[in-house]
Amino acid sequence: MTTLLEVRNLSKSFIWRLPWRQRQYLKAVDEVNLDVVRGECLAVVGESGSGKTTLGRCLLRLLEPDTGEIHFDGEDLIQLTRRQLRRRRVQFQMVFQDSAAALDPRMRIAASIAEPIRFHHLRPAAEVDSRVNSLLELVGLAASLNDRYPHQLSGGQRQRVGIARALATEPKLLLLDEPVSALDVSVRAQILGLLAELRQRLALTMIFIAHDLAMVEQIADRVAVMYLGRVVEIGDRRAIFKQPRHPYTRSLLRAIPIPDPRRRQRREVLTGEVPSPLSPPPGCAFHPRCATARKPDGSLKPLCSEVKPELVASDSAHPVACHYPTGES
Amino acid sequence: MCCTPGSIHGFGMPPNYLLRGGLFLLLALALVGLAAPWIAPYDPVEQIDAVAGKHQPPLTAMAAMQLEHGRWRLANRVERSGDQLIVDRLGQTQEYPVTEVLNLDQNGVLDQRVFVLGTDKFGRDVLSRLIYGIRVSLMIGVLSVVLALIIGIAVGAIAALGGKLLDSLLMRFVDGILTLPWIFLLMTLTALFATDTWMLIVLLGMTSWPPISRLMRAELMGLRQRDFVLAARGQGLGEVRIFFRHMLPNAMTAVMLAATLRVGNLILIETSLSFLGFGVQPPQASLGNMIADGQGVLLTAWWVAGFPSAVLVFAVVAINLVGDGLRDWLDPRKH
Repeated sequence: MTTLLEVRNLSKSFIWRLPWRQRQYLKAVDEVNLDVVRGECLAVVGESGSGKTTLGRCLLRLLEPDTGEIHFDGEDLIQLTRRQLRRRRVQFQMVFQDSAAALDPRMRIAASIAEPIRFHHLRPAAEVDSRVNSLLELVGLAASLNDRYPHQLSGGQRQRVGIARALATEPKLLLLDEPVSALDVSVRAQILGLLAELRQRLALTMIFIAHDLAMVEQIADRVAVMYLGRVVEIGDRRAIFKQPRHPYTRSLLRAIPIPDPRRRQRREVLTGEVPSPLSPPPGCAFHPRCATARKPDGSLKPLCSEVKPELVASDSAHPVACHYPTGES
Repeated sequence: MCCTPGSIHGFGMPPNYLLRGGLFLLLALALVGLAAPWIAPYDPVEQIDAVAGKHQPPLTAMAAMQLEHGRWRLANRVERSGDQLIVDRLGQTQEYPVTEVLNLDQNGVLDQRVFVLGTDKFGRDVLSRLIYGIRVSLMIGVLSVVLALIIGIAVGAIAALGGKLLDSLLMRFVDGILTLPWIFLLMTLTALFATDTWMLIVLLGMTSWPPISRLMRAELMGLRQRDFVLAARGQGLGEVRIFFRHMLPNAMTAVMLAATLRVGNLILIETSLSFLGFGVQPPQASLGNMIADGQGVLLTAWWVAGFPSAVLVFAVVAINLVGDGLRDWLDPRKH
């Protein structure tokens, strides 16, 4: 097992400028470290605004990160020139959340799928059409759909096209940015099934971005939980689901509805909104909403409100960024 | 399906009929313009008999006599009696010796001129002038928009993709141009430079690109953020390809629509200029200078300005109908 993608201290800020105010920096991704092992599926989970989409786009250098290193297959993507990067891109592809927006509305789907193959000369011109048809087949679409426009397809079919297009260049890494969030529940399961199957057949490495844990339970090998631009907990799926260590992860888990009323537990619903990333709280970013950060008398624990916790692993448990993690043995 | 505010489709008629009607009208006008030399009954600038032919109402038929030195006379009635021709002309009866008239035949019946839409103050055939006027006005409208499109698309694309500084410079320049009172600007420019129709086209084209460039820029700015452009970049496609394959075609919908409507606009501008005496110069006919010719005699000779005005209205309405239909047609979602 070797790592395919190594991310070191990746940060990305957006400048927020209003004419009557001083410019402010929105830290969307804050010192993120990640390793993605060949063949695994890593899920990145977080609420809206947690920076997971920005992280994903930075990983593929669709956004330029401010600082940090991204080693893909042993090569730092940040150091590559545009031209070199363009050639590398065939090896990591992305599937978007909104399949309707991700496909050119004026292109027939066969043309959309064929475009990267033709551009990078991945197949002789005569074989492109059959390659497109086999890709359509691979994602479970009839080859007869190839002359349709995106708007003539259903959401599920469109997402399959998006996946086929991403697979057209035979990538090693597939980044899925909430690929099923926009779909009907029944279609969701089909697409998740398809992704699991493709992963097996093509030995793909996947990064699966999602906003709730329920969605990744079947497909992920490991889960990284993000909160306000930082990874707060990362570990094997079993560990995250059975022994969550960060209070935020616990509240995400409790948000998953449990169909069996006898197993239903008391819900601790998170109160308050995600704080504005423009002025993140000092110390642990989660402390204003965290029950663990409060003493029994309701006052804040000074460590939580003053010191930023680092993502550290203990000898016996997976890494977590919390001063008072649970599950410490 | 298409009910944006201001759309003419709001009138409850199926949009297809309006588009078809507009296209039919426009095609008919375009054909008339293209075939002008073959279908115009007479020479549009020929003043065959400015005195007797002046302001004849539609459907007037007059006899035409050719005299020596290439002069012509129009007459209401001509009769032969021996060596003399008895001619009713301008309410008087005159006698011409047969030897002076060159286009006689055995019966003494001469050439006939039929002025289907009447004549103007120089006795020129309004129908022939109208046919040539359509040709000139449509050509100016279409060609100057083509020129404006080329400049507008280029400037808009450079502004949208060429960086912030270039964008600011170009757009402030465009703002500047848009603040100028175009009719006076064009009057000045045409008075100075518009020596012929081609120069007029160049001038109109060079002054009407700013709105197109703005629209192009706005469309491209919007498209730059769209997922499918990001996806294309993520696939490692080159920027040139992304621009020509994904951004430009998607931006063209709005731009083509605006350009089509602009043709109507430019025909109106050309007409205004010609009406004011700055555009197409007499004796060449354009819808504008024909209307100008007739405005003083609207009550006594309504046909001089009436027919070109009607054609102008039809042309502009047709163009707007087509523009509206084009928007639907260019949108693959509406197929």
